[in-house]
Amino acid sequence: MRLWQTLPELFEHPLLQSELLRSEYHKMLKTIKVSFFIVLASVGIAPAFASDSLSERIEFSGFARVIGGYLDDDRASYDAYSSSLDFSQQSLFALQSEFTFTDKLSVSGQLLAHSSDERESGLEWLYINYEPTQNWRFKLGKIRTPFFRYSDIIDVGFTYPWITPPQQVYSGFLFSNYEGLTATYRLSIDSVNLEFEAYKGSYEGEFSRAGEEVDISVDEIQGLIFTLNRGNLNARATIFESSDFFADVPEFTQFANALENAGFRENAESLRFNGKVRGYQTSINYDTLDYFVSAEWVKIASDLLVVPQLESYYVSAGYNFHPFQIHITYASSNSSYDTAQNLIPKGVDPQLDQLSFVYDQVTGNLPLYNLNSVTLGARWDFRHNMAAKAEVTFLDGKPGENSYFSEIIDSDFDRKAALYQFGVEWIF
Amino acid sequence: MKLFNKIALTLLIVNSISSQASDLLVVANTDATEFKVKKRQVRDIFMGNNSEFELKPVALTPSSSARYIFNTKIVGLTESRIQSYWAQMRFSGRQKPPQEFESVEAMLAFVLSHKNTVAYLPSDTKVPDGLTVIYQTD
Repeated sequence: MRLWQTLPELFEHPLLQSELLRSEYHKMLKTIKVSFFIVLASVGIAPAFASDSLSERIEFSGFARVIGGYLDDDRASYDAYSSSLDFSQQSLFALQSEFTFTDKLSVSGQLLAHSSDERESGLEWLYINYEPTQNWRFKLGKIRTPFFRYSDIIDVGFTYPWITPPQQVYSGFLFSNYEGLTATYRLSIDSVNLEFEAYKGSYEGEFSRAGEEVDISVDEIQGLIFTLNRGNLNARATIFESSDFFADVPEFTQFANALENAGFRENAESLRFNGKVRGYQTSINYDTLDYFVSAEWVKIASDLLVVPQLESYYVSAGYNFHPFQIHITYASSNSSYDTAQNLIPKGVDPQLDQLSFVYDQVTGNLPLYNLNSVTLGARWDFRHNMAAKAEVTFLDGKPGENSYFSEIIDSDFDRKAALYQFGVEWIF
Repeated sequence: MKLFNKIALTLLIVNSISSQASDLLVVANTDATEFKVKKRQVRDIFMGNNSEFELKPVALTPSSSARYIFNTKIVGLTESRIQSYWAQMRFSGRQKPPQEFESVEAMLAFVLSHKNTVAYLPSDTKVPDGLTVIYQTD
């Protein structure tokens, strides 16, 4: 078992300078050791270590971005950007490592250090990957959630044209990872490549509601993904469901208890988390040497009052004159809530009047997320693994609504503003 | 100034391409000597979309002119788009890009010593014994 003695030295690599990364890596190392033993015990492939050297079996890679931006209006903030130039909202650094046991079996981990207070830094994923044949792939562990087209690589800005993908789709009413299992089957029919993926797991942690954090646990997350690829045409469709929520929003819970005591179960239930969130997504993109076009549509159906019903889409097109690219995107969202009808009578009893009035207030004041936006951007791949980007997003929300603005300082703010961003993306 | 350098470099690369072979061969280290594939299968093999053949692709580094021709004629994507595609595959844990070599000689040496590997070469390269030409650009 000399392997265990060599690994810690590897993790002392200069790339792991920050204390945070170092301590997280030691935690991860522990978990990896445990995973190794499980795998070794169950598959019994220990003799395979004899062949290749350790350096051939372990591989490091990573990505980083430094992004600056500001909003041209001081009456609100958007995606945590205010009217003063800020580099701490989107900048990040991540390190990924993969240890290969055999051609079929590997363990992979990813550590992320994020500059934004709203994002947790630490272990983003850690899983065992098993590919018994060309057609099958299984992953077990902590995995990034593949809800939408860019969900599982949302932090890797190098992979998409924008600096910030359309918030109407990617603002994160969902969570970035889960613990569980995923199985993928691939096949080719004529000139078409198909991929089916099914995943199942659970999540415990924070859930971001357009800027606000709520502690949540979800016992059941499951989804199906279907992708079709033919040459440079790619289409994807997915459906997922999260149920068995437990979340604690004290204001909601207290009020729900009061309603239940007064005998209004249905209205009490609507303030709790005993519900389901179902999501649907479909996207298509086509790339050529000269241009690309892409579109994505998502719908979230929810019977929870903390998650809105949402329908969003974007359409995007870009022109390449390598190493440059310019692009334009239109995005739009529509949101509402599935609120239970207020069954608490008014005018019978002053106390009931009060409950009924508060219920109306709660359900009538839920944040709404209607927003149209146009993004114009440019990208310059000045090295094969580095890109500089600049973009402006013209935001046009609905007066009186949240419209994805993270903070509205002046209530007279008309929900119209421009967000300017620029930065560098790097992969290694 | 840097921008001008970049443009000058790009022009230089384009020039050097036109003075060299602009066609490619795709060779494999395989037992099946009568083995031929179509253009879209070559694309799928090198873009990790292949579930038909037990073939492992290897590639040249991004500065190579044969790679530029391969991107243009076979894949139909710019180098930047290919880089972002592989970043997406790698950092979503799906798959890794083909192993890269600095020179055709180094790549050929690797392919010759590894069964079921496949590589693209400038069409004026002398194909060593033991490798099968499975595709040729027109």
